[in-house]
Amino acid sequence: MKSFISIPVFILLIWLILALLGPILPIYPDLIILEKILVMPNFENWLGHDDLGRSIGARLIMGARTSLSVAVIVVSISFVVGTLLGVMGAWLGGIWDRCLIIIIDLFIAFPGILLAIALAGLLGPGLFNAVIALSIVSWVGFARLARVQTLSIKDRDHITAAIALGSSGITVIFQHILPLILAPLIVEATFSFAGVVIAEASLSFLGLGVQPPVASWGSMIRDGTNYMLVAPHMVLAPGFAILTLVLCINLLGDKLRDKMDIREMDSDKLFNRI
Amino acid sequence: MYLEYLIKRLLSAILVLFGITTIVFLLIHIVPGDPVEVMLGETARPADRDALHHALGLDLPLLQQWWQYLAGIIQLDFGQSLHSRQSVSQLLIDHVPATVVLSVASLIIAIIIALPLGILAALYKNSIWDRLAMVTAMLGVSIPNFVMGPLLIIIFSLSLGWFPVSGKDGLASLVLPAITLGTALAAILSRMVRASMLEVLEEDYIRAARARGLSEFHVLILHALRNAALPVITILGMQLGALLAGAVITETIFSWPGIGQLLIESIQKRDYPVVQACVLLISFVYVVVNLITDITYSVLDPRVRLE
Repeated sequence: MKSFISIPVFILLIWLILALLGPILPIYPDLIILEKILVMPNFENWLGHDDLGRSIGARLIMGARTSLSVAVIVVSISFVVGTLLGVMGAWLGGIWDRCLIIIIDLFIAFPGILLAIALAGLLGPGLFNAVIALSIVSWVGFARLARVQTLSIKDRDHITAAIALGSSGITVIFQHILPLILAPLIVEATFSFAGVVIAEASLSFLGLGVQPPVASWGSMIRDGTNYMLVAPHMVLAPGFAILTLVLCINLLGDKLRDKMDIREMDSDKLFNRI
Repeated sequence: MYLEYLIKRLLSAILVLFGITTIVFLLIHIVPGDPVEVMLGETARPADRDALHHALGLDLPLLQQWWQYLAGIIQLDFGQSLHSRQSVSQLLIDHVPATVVLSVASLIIAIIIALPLGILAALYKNSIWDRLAMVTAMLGVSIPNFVMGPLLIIIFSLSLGWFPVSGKDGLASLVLPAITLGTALAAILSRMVRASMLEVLEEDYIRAARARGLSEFHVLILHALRNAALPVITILGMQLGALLAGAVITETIFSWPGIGQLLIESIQKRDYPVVQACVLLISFVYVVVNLITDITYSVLDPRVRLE
């Protein structure tokens, strides 16, 4: 386990702690200071202030809360739903599996982030709708993986033995199948997490995610694009925040994949995550 | 045998398109919000609303609406924009060329970056070049378009003044959007080229080619790259969806007048027929490209058909 205390994990932990402690830290992300409008970063104001004179550092921390909580919720929902559906499909076979395949194919036949944009657009802007849109899109990856994995181990001897000994289907699934297919699913979850962070920021960037005054890194960049000439830090700070978070998660995912000795899962995993 | 594969593949593509069309239709009709209200505003008289409802066919049973909608799509009639009252087909025709130009340009940029990077990394596996290439690729994957775009604008437009900030005006205005969209693709592509080259370089025919005394260039380009290209082409086809989705955001950043920008604007204006048509168009292109990729692949590598 020692090797897991690496730089990416360290940076991830920092973001996590900042996001968790956000509400009790002495920061004021909504405080408007008129004389500090568009102040560039300096010794007094580390990351500068935005077009309304709000502290960008404080808003970054608030954005981290948005980003991480959306990612945690969406990945949890899609992990559980997707895995269960995938395992059930492979386990039950027949008509259930056929239906599942058709639904998965339908979802995969469509760029996920685009579907999320369209869904969020139709449902109307807002964080709750963004979570729904992202969950609808991202369960598919888990279902596909869980299904294929289950199919590959379903006929193994220990499972045949368990069935012969009279274990119920539920016992077999939870005790004999899930533990075996968990490793690739966890790797999938890591990449999916990075994907959701980007997707949430994309939606917010397009004005379809969180609504003001709540901060999201995506909406901060959106606001910042109007002031790039006079206050580039408004774009650079949240941009760098997203980059560090996503890069660290991806590096962690790569490492987990090597550690757990999973063959290249889907070669397109990294890019087409959602 | 082969014909059977083709027909099966074609049928499944048609099925997927039909499914997507129906889902989009249902979504638009299930989601709260009345297009008539968008058109007339909240203060309209009930009689006017009813009249417009009737004119748009919104008072018909859902099944019948769905039927008319499908019939319209087959005739490439997507209705008219709730806002400008323009025909949606015309709007699409106006916006498609810009997106095609942007996508092709990004594809070219991605290939120009990814090929040398991937080959270099494969040739000198585990060397400093390999690491450097893969770190670059990882960075490229981790920078979202909406960070890359503004970053490029700040550096190359605002500071250096080399390229225009936004809009579509000549070749110079294409450079930054294409780089924004291309780098993300280049990142994933270079990883693929590397993996694919590594596999091919182990093959006997490469050793044979070297033994015959062919130049290293000859071996690499004519023997290795040609064989490594297969999986890379497949990935390229599959990535087109990501490319199109990326185009939506990139076009918004650079005010590039393509389908992506049209989609986002229509979403903001709640212009449902246009949203519907954009989504359908993008998924149609995506499904067709996937189909072509699959078929090309099965022509080039007959083993695929047997699966």
